[in-house]
Amino acid sequence: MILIFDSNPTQISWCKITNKNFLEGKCQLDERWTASFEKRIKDYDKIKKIAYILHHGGEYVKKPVSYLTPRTLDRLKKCAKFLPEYNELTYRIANYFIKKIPTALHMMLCDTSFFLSLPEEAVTYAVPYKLRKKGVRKYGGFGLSHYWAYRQIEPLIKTHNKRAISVYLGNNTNMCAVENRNPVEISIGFTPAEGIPSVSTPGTIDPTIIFKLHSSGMSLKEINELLSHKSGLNTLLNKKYTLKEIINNRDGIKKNAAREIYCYNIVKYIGGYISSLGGVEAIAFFCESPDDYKNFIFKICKKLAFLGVKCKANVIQKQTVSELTKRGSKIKVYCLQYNKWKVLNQYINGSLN
Amino acid sequence: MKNIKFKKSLNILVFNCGSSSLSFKIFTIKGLGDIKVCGEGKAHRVGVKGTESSFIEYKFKEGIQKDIVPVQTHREAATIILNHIKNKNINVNFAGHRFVHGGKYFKKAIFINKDTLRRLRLCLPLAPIHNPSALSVIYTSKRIFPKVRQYVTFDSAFHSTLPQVAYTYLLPKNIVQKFNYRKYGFHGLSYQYVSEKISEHMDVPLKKLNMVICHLGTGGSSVVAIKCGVSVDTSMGYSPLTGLIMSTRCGDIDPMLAIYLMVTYDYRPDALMDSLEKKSGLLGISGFSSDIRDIVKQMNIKEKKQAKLAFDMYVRRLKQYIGNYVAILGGIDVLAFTDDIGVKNSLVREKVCENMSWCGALLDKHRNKKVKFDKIEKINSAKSAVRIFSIPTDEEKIICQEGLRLLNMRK
Repeated sequence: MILIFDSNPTQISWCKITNKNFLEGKCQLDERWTASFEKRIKDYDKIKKIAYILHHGGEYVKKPVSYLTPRTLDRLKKCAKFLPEYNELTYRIANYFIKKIPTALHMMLCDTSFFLSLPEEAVTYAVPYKLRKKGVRKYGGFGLSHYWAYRQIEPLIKTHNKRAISVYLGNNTNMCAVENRNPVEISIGFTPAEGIPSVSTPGTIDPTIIFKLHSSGMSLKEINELLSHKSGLNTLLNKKYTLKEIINNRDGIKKNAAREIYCYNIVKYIGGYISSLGGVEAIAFFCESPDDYKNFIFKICKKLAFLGVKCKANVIQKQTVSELTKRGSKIKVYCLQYNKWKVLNQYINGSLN
Repeated sequence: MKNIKFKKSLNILVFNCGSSSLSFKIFTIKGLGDIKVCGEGKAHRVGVKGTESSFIEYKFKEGIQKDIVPVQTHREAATIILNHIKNKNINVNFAGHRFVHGGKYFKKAIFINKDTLRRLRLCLPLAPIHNPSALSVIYTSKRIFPKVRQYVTFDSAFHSTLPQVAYTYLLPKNIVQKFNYRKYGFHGLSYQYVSEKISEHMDVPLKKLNMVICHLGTGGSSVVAIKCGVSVDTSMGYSPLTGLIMSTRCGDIDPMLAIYLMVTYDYRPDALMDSLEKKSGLLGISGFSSDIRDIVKQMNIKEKKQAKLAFDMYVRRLKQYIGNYVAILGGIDVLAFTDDIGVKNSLVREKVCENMSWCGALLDKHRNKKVKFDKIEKINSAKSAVRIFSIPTDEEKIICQEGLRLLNMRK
């Protein structure tokens, strides 16, 4: 049996994998969480491996997969400062289970390690260099998933040089450029606020705005809150929608500027990343429910027709990877069925390393 | 432009306010296709503290004159220049000015009257370095040439055509409305001149061209995407701080970084803003110079790793923006480089155009190296689907032409 934990600012989500069954759950980290958790998982003695997702490993955690022992736990603690809302919870959980179930194999899966090998000119900000030395750089994120996406389509690229762009369509949309298993670009920056606008985040904006808001009386905490949860596509709509609803014009969203802006930004970023790569062989979109996003992906592909992207008329998704482009399309476009736990499981059992 | 002759010739005096310079040109117009410069000049190092003193250059048909005079402000510079013109007995019919940021108040050039002045004053905080000095020059011109009609043109006006998808900042509606947050964009006069000039040079109407133009200046730099002669996206934003990496400005950064630095390192907001504006960009990365020429000179020295890094970052960001705009335009016909760095730095052009064949742009390296700085030059190879140009900009000429357009409208 394998247990995986993923933390976010409000709760911990977990997944129990036995044979090929995936059981998911969520829990709040209040005083009684251990008791309620034991009730749901039951047989602790059967747990062979426990994995914890570390969303931000700074420059300390160099490998996507590493083992945690009471000794190396310190490293995890050091990372808490980078993304405290996430990392502190991860640390607390890991700390608890290492002591509770010392016989199991404890693993740390780090979402930023992949991007430590980005070229220096891609990670440095054009600010005074002393800040770079203090660790101000682009760390990226979602690396486990982007690397997985690349590996899914890698065998399908027949050229010697394999350049690909992977796009995650979901609440924190982000994009990555990979060349021969090496990262070239990632839209997430020092924090997840940078990059492509999403449902409740504005993406990269003029920093002057931050200063203006601050001087008009908003506290830094309020601005932080504003950029993390209260901006984004939803500001254009009368009520809160999910990304799926926005891109499918559901629920009577009429003139859908939000969808247009979202699409525009994705096309724009794809162009920028093709430029960084000097050309591209394949683009892979991945999302939890490909059927909901398919029309939207076709819309994006249409805008890339000038680069020789030729789409099939209709695609029915049956496997993890489905191709959306016709034979002879200069750039191949794929849509991947994404399930976080299944992807993580591949790292745990070593099939992606 | 059509060759319409005027009965009488016109003189238009044009002022162009830089952050530490003030240039002027006097155009003599005998017809719509007959515009000549009859005098020009520039006040250098206005308000700059340093060992070298400020000076004003004049170029008239009588010859070149260089006066070394202390000039603390743009107002002083304008006073000296205007009196110089007055003493030469040159008949000035109109005076045109460049205003960097017209905000939501101005979408095109306009004659100056009381109401215009009131609205210009409202724009001052939008570009605290450029706008106040431009306004002081307007007032000075009014004082010295009270009878001359004046008009003002805007760098942000060219981008008033941006579509909603490009100009929107996705922040709550009440905040966006309160502060008028949107992408304004700058260097509009330059883009207007360059796009029109290229269309004329190619003999293809603007309506049939998709262009990406890179305005790479020694101070600010930006890129624009032009579809059918109309600006559809540009790299600068609400302020001129974002977009490309510039001499001392940071360009795009993670917006959360500003908050992080204030919280973690106790930066005071104004000190941090100042640092992002004046100590970042090429200067911040290289650690020794904001001048790309210095950086190019030193970047192959092993000990100057940061120089190489600064250059690579500059090129990488620019390439990325070109890619962005190629994608949203659905392919381009023209890629152009203008202003100081754009025209004079062949290495920047060479590196930017490397591996750009995916969008059909192929540079002729030999031609690129031999570019003359004073005229438009085609530098793409014969096989290139995209025309690549190096072209000096002429903001003053566009300011002059905008004046003629205003006159025409009045008739």
